Amino acid sequence: MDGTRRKFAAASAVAIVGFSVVAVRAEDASSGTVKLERLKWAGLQQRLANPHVKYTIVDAWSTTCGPCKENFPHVVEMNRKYAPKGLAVISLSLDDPTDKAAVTEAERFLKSNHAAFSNVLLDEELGEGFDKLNINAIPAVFIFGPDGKEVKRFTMDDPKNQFTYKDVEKYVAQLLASK
Amino acid sequence: MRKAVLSLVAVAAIAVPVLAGNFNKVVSVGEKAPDISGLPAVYKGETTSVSLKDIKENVVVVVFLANHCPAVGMYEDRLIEFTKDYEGKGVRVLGISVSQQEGDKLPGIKDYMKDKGSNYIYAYDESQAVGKAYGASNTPHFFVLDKERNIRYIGAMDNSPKEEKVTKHYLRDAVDAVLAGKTPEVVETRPYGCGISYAK
Repeated sequence: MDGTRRKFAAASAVAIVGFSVVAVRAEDASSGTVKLERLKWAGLQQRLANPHVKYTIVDAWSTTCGPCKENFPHVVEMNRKYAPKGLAVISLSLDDPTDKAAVTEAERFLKSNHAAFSNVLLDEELGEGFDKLNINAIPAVFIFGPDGKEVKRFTMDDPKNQFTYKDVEKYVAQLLASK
Repeated sequence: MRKAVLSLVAVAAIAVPVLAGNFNKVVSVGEKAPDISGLPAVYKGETTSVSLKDIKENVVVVVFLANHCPAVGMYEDRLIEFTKDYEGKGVRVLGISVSQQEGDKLPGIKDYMKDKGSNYIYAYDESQAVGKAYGASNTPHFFVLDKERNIRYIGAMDNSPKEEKVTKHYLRDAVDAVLAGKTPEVVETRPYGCGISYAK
């Protein structure tokens, strides 16, 4: 576990080092405004219908999910690259909203990763988010149109067809280029 | 007798089985269970190997686990209790790790079992082939196999990761039904826990 944590920390560090100096400064400044907002499922649905953007991408994660944290820099990077092109990014924590330690850790993680976009904590019973999203496992990524309708999902549920964040970015780039 | 018949009719009317294949992308309830053969394993502190064909019990509960997974930790006491409760009743519990994290491999399994007091057989599937064949997407992810080694239940142990909130005991109900020669009322549920990453 400790080794894994170190690995994640190292991966995050590498990703952050990869940004330009200017970008790091800009994100440092924004990290102070990184917030984790509690939303019920219905509130999240309203948020997904966003006529001001071309698409909304939702990254479902939790503080206990190693691969989610390992890959989170990809989400931050997609926000940096594609938000100016019409992509809204939402991170969706499926942590237990009644677990204060988990919520604090989620906030700390988001700030340390400079998650300068919409960060939502699903305010439902632990485990219910999986039913609502119709997924078995996280990470999982969803893309919604401006009408709030899902246009694509990437999941880990099929052992023979698991996604990578490279798949997601490729799809997003093509989607935005075609609209 | 009449009462018994009426009761049965009532149960049949209420019990609407969840359709198989809703959550598992690879196998369905009713299918022959994929084979498990020659996996290195730990049982009662000793290293051994396990094959499905060598298990004599009428029911086998296969559960995919990973030591690093917090959800597995949340279910460990329940799994130990389940194994204890069904010992000598024709039920064999077989844990399998397919995780490639260092602590989830055989030496880690041995340490984990000693630390937790785990009383089931816990095997390691280095190739991940068994996990893929079962469509295991989570840890823990349960599969109940009958005497013919057909799959009779797939999914979660119960309906809440928080033990105090559990109101439905899917695994126990399924095993009890199969032991009694009946069809479980609920045959598939969504597994809850950490996702399993498979090597590309």
